[in-house]
Amino acid sequence: MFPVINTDYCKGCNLCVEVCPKAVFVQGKNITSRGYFSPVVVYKERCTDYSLKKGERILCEICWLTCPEHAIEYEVE
Amino acid sequence: MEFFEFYRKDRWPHQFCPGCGLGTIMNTMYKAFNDLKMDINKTVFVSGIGCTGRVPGYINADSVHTTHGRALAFATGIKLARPDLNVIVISGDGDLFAIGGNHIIHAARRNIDIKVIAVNNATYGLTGGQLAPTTPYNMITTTSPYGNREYPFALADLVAAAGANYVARWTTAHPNQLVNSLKQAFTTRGFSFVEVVSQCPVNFGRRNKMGDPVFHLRWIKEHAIPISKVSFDVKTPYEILDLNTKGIYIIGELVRRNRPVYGEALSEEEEESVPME
Repeated sequence: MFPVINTDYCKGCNLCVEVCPKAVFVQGKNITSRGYFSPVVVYKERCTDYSLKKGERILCEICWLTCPEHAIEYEVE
Repeated sequence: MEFFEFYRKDRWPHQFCPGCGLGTIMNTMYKAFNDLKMDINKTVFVSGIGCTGRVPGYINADSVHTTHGRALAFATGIKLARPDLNVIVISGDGDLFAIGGNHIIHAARRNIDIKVIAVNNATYGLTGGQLAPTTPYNMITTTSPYGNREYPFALADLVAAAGANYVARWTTAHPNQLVNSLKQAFTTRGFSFVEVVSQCPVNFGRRNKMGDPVFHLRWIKEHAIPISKVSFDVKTPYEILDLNTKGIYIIGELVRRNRPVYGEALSEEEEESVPME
């Protein structure tokens, strides 16, 4: 699974860039339709972590919990 | 529970400033509700005035938006009239402690079965960032342009001294711990109090060189110390107050007690007073 940012809700606070332990997000440079600089999911292959438990994918959900606008959803590959 | 069974999707996106901590607290509340399988139809949200007072408007539950500072008075009435309902008070520090300070210490003293989530952003955010009783020493606000010369309240320690059954303090930089703490608070009988130190980048951070929400979140993380890592040499409450005057938040579970609950004691007495036929 990897996160997807809904640009209809995102207000560009960049808190997901700060809290993600794997640095999946990168600060955005292009303006969205609502006029904010929304972050971009660049390194989505880093998201689910293999190192904690072998064979099982663990989603930490810290970006989903922290996002004040509820703009982050997860998509199954 | 589905995500949009808890939230009101038609109210989306909400009107809080970019980077406000209230959205994080709403997400943690949803996760605590979802993990505990609590019934949203058996829950009443009570809120006062302020930015935090708008939070129940985005939640798909019955809610009361009350007068300034009197959220706990309304919640006490709801709980005594309908003891089967879960009553959750979510309000800010200005509402619960500045104007409603008398209500919260007496609600904690009576130990009514109410869950209180106090969002502490250290300023009056809605009205333009004035000096609040929770502003740390030397911080700049609109009404203290040369720095604050007052010392702040230690909210969680005040409620713990007044006699609540469960008291904890967490920040928005620790969302997973906050979810566990909210679960403990929702399942504890009696007055449960969770203080959440939250960021206000627009009206508090902007004047203190923390205008970016990321900088404010980092500041909160640096000034939060887990209670297990604090060494108490002298007497415990005074040490906590000394740290609090320096603007340091001690996070963790402060108090867990098992005092009798107000409404339950009342109903037992009423049963005893009924004459036998």
